[in-house]
Amino acid sequence: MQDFFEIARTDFAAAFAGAWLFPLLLVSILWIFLKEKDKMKKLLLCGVPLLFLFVYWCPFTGILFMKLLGQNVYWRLLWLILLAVVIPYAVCILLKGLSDIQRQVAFVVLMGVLALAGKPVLSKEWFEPSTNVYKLPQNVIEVCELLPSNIHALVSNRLMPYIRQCDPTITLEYGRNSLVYNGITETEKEEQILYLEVQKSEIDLAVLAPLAKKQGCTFLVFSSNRTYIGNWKDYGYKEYASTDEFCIFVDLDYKEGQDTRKWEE
Amino acid sequence: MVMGLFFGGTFFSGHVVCKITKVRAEGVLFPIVVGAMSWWALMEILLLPMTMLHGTFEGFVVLYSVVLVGIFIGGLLGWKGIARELKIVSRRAKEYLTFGHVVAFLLILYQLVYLHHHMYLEWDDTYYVNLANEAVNSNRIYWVYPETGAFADFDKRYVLSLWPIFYAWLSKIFGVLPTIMAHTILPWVIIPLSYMVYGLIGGKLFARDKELQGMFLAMAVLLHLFMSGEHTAGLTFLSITPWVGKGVLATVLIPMLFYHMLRMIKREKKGEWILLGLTALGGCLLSSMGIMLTPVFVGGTMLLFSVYRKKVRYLTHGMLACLPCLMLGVYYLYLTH
Repeated sequence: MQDFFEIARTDFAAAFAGAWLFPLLLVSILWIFLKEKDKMKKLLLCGVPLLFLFVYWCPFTGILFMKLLGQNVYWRLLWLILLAVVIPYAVCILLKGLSDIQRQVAFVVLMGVLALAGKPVLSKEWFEPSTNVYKLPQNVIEVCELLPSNIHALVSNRLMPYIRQCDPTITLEYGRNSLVYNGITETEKEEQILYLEVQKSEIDLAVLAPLAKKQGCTFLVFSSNRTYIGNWKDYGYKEYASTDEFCIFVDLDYKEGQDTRKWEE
Repeated sequence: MVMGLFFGGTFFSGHVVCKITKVRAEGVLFPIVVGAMSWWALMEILLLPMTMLHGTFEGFVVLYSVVLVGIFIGGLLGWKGIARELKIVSRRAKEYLTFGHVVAFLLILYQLVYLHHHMYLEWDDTYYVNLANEAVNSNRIYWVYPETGAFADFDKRYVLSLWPIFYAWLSKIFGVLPTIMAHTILPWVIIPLSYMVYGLIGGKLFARDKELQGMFLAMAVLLHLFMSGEHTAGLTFLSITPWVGKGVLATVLIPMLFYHMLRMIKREKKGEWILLGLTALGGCLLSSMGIMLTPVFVGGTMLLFSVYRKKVRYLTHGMLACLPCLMLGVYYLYLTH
């Protein structure tokens, strides 16, 4: 029970902290309850949000929904409380009785109040100017423009989430599920040894290259600040191209236009 | 072009659905949102068995497109009724030129232009957007692990709600990479669609006061542009990731369910329940959360209706409308637990 309240409280704060929208919602519900004459509208705009607030906080329903939806996403139950309907409706009830000019002035003032009650979404905090039609980081596009299609590659974690969004014909040695290998100190699994080696600032080619070859990684893309122990050509790879931030290496056996994509059933 | 296909196609499809369900296709917005819900419901019906049976993506594209073209032609056949409705709309268009509507329009335009020139890097796109990329690239639906493309995979959590295949379908038709479709084009479809639903809600709440309808819409838009809590809460999805199924669920589908409830207050025709059922089924496509939250919303609201009006049929009819969700929900729990 204590766990339930802890999760519910944390999720609730994550949804409503740092702004005045939730108190505004409660005031709106109260205002609609007092002013709305149509009982069905009152039921929909006061009763329904209160019902889902109750469902969210009540341990009996809450624990059930935590099991059904999953603890991590329990907060999504709060989507059922329609802030963008209830609050504007309450404000409009307030505006209803005003004459034309008064109404428009009050509307502008109340829009200002609503804006001040929240934090702007369209801000530099979350968004950055887009420089390409893919809306992906420019350094990813630069690497993709250099890489040929239909190849298997092992790429820096900085590129991993985006590279296939730019060119889906490229197969990758690692996806996000391999991030769980971070922190492993001792392992005998080749997949993990290879992953851990490429995370190092100084990469030992004697460890990396044989494993990368074995896994069919025709292309390797690492941050340009990495240093290497050994000579690439001695281990069957050579430098292929580079950008400001990344160096690309290619298997010496790779022939231009060759399809080296990996597939495991 | 994508906007033209989507809004034009859903408009005519909506007219067909309204005709079948004997619900008046009033105005322009109502048939569009009904059409959109029907497209998604139809997609869920076709896509689910095709995914399970290892159907090809191209096979799906052909089948889905042919059915939609059929519905579209059906809509065109009813052009007389549509022309009559459009005449009424054009005659009353001036009534919608209110201060509130102008403010709402400017805010929506600001949101669209801002998003067009900016990007939000969504960590989960490496799964969802690549799911669409992989469908177009490999011609397989869902059976490839999208993050690497290097092995066969069947993640039970998402198999019932393959929303990315919707924009993969649009990508295939227009010959655009799904990444570009999702990040750059889809916001121009989903954001207006969401505000159309709010426009309809405003229309029902203030049926006789157009100025208040505009003000209601403007405030609804504003509340999507100012947030509380973390930036990945419900309403903010419309700005940060309008291409993600969860975002469409929170900002289009759940408000649409509310709109159905508003309609239900006034008239309880059989057709209204069918439209609610279509919306509920469309929600299943968007996200597994849609499978779960739709019956909760409809069930909770209908329970209140039933208690207040002392008629149990609200609850039973509501649950009947959510029957596909309930069935998929049980299957989802079986798959994941």
